[in-house]
Amino acid sequence: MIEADASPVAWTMTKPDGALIAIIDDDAAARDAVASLVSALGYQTFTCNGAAPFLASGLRHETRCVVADIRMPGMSGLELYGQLARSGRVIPTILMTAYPDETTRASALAVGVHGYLTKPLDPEILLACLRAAWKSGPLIPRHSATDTTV
Amino acid sequence: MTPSSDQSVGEPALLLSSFAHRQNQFWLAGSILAVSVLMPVLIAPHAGRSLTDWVVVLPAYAAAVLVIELVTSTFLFALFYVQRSRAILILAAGYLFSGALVAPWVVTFPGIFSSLGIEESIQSAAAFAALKRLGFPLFILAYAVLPDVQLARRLVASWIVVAVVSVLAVIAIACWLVLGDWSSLRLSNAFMRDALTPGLLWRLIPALAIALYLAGIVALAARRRTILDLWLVVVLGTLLIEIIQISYLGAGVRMSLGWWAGRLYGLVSASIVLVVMLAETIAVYARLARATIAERRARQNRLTAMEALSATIAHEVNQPLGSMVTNANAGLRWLANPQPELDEAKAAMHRIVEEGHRANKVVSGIRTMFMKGTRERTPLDLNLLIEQVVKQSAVAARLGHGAVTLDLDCQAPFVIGNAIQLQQVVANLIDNAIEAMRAVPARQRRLRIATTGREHGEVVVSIEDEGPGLDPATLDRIFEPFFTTKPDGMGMGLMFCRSAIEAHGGRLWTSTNEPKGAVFSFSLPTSPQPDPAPEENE
Repeated sequence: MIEADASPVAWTMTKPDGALIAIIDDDAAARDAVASLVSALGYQTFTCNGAAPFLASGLRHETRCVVADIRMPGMSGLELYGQLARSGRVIPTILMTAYPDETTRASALAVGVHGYLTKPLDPEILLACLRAAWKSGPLIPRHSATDTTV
Repeated sequence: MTPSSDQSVGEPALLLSSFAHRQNQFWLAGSILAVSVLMPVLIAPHAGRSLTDWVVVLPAYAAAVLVIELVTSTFLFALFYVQRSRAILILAAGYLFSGALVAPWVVTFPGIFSSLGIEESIQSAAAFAALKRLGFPLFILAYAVLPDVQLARRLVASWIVVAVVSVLAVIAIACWLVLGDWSSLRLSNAFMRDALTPGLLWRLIPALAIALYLAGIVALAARRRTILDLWLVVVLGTLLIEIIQISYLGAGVRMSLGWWAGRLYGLVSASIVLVVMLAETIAVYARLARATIAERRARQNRLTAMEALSATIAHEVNQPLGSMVTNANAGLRWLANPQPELDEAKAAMHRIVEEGHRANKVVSGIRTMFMKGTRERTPLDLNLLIEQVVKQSAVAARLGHGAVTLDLDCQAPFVIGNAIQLQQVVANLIDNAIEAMRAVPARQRRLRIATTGREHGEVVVSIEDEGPGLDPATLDRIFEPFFTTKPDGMGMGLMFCRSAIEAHGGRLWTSTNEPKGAVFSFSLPTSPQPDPAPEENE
């Protein structure tokens, strides 16, 4: 199934709010479903089919929160967060997985991931997580000069 | 190694008595016999020397022979118990007979047990010796000559009892005849003229025994099939040398060097079958242990594959189910919003329908892979099958502006196979090829499907794409289960294709396409008699 112009990054305008929530998942159906749910909760979203396209995307700097699948080919959700943490601008990140396990959860929360959610997502928990992440906003460490990935 | 034909009907050829002997065993047996012949030649000049003092060794010798022969007999009875071969029963009885006769022989041997008050006679010991010497080769002859039959399973134990009781009864009768008060034997000098010199009758016994040994060797050599037969030849050979030493080289004089050397042969001869059986038992045990380990490993591998398979299936079904729940939640939210967004809700519903179909596809794919129908085989026209798949899976539409070429050999013969499985294989390979050209600009996508009838009875199907080709680094892993290069691949496709093709007696392989891309080809054996009526695939 080849889409003639399959773009790795797509974005949906729901509210002209300015700040975006990135939905990153390699599975298209899961991605669309989560994006729809997050939009229905009142946020403006855009979708990426992987961690690398997100990092390369220009929308990255307008992203206020990342909702990413953990298990993805190439860069995993957790690795993406690591990458963001090393760059100058740490975007609050919510990870989701269909295969939750305590160890990953503990290590993810330890490195500062905002939420560790089990698929299928519970809308109330997701909303609570999104609100908390939204409130904290992107963190800019003092050594922001080291941001070389831009 | 070919198992014996009439022996061990229905039993695996794993037992000593049913193994054909191997070449190296043959040479070993031959060299033992050769060495055995050498010794009497060496001691021949001194064979007549008297070693009367050594008489004290005789009870130890007798005890050793008795124990060895009775253990051999027990072993053979046990073998009979599992194998139910009449020949083995006869042999076991022979060893029992030979071993049990050692007792009266040594007890009545002059000058050994006289201190115990046992009335001895120089004639009785010789009579027992003669009985043993003539009886044992008769059993072996019976073993070799009588056609072997497998006895009824429920009577096996009774047969053993009958054999043991009859052998012991014969020995008891012999004892009674030889040792009875009325017996005139002890007064005669039929066997022995004096304590050491044999009498007239004993002159006949060795000749008779030699004749029986030779007959036995000939019968066994004619039969020569199993390891046991081979080693029985060695047994009779050593017995032959023994009797020659005792009776001719030692001039038949008891306690001479030749006589003692003969005794040594008797001991070796008694041990041969036991040693061979023990060695073979260990060998069989080792084989069994290896087989068990291999079996356990195979089962472990199967289990791992099954676990991995079920995990993959669970994942493949879970994924759409998760999306359905999330979409349903999204739909509910869109409707619950102060201003319900009907379009968004509708889109979510559509996605639920799609995901439902996706889950269904996974499940029906598994059904096609494993269900009963996949075993049904009929003559198939591969060309027709390929055309149908190309039509069904809308190949042309999926290639966009690309081109699909069918290069079908109309002379290609029919193959015998399962239509559903082979359709699945072709569809999988086409999917892979289209997938591989995803990054290729639409107009440059070229898919070619070709069939070729080969002369040596196979049809080769190749599916060629002009994608980036196969990565040499992962080339040897592409057929492994769960290996995938696709972002949403299951890693089952090629594994399924290969196992399905191999189940059809064919092969699946990859090669490079010129100037670029990959070729997946499979061969299928052609049906021996093409059915004129083609099989309907739908």
